[in-house]
Amino acid sequence: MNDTGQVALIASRSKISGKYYFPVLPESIPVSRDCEVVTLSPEASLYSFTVVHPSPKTGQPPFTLAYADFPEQVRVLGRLKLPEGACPMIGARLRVELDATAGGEQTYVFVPVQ
Amino acid sequence: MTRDIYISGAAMTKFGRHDAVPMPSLAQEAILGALADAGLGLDDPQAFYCANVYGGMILGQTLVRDLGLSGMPMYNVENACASGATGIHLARHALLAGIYDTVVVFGVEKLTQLGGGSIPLQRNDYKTDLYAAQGMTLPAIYAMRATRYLHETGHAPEVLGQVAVKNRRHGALNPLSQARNEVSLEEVMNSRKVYDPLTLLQCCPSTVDGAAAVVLTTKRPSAGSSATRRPDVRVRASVVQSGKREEGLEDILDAEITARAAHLAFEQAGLGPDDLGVIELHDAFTIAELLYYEAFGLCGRGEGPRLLADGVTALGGRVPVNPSGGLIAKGHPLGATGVAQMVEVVWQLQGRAEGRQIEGAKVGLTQCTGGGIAGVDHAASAVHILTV
Repeated sequence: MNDTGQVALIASRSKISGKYYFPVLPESIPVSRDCEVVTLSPEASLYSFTVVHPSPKTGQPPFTLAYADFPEQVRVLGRLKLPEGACPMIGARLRVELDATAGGEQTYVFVPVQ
Repeated sequence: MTRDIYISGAAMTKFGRHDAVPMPSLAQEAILGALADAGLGLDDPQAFYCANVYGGMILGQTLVRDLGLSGMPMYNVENACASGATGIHLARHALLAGIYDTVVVFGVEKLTQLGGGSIPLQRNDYKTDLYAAQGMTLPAIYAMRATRYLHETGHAPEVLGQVAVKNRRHGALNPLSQARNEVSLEEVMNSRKVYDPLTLLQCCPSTVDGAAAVVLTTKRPSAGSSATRRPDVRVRASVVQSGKREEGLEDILDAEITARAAHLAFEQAGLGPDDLGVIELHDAFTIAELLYYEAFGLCGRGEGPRLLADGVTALGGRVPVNPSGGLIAKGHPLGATGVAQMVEVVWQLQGRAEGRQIEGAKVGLTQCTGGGIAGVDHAASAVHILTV
């Protein structure tokens, strides 16, 4: 959660170049010493997407993968959850929500800003 | 002193499902074929280079053990889908340095052992792990390029399908191609949805096996005692580049690593895109071929479909692309691909590409990319230019 109570992603920002990197660089990586952990803006823009159709053998339903561009000039790949019957639109505003993976772990997903 | 590097022998197995054929058999067939093509015996090369991705450790030594070689060096090379081309690049270094005068480079892969589906990604990376858990695969990355391409250019999805129609038409003429049937645009577009906007027939087959080999030498083939009437094929440029870390909101249609590799290769050869008479490029997915037209300077942004529509890149056109059928039709056994591209171009330049021969081609380019990690355009891109 960010200061306004919205779900937000965290990233690394280089103290040298000011550039942002997602996900946060592990502390064990030497260059992480030159970075600080920051919170990204709550909204992003849909840059591109694909609807993945798993093999019929798996029985899994289709899902959408998306590239979301954040104002901090960093792109994040993630799943895009859409309302029933909705189609993704490049340029659409997205926000981040928490979701559960098939294994029950928490992860992030993108959803359209209504 | 700069040495000329020649390809004096080239051979490959048929690409396809070889469930009952062990990997050593495929590799040895290609190696023996290339040596016979060069008029050489097993003890003539001073070193071997083995390119492969999923075969495991000391693979080259395993594959040739039963050939009873005399203990010359075996170098095992892995660089994802660019492994074969990287093997040739490294072999050329050794020849240029005068360490050897004749070597064999072979590539081999048995993807049927993996059971089909998207190939596994690199898992020793926190970012790739995270994105793979989200569902990232190589075809998904290409599909997102395709979505963006259609959005920016305003083209209909059928322009992607036209690449598959062309390359499958070429593959139908190649007896060593995995897919040997022509398909209509309607069949391509109506094939199973896999990664929108890519349909199944727009993706290279995921279950394919095969091997390819070339003999690289500093000895001019036509000057030997068993001189052939074939024109000498020279390696005029050999470039391998690595992907740069994405630093922001990169243009995913830029194919930056491949444009960079091609630029360096043209510079090395003293040639340009207008000189090319044949191209074998990495059409793992249809969108890739359109992007690489631009990366090589064959056309401007969004103009690839015009080249296809005008037949410029088809057999009979000004610069045929993937006359072998490419990865989409011929197949893509990863480690073998870069070497097989070289085999096809050698045969084309020497007038030996039966059934699909390009008349008068003097300059050929091969290109393959290696992917599988998040955060870079591609991990590797290799471009070679061959001439007669």
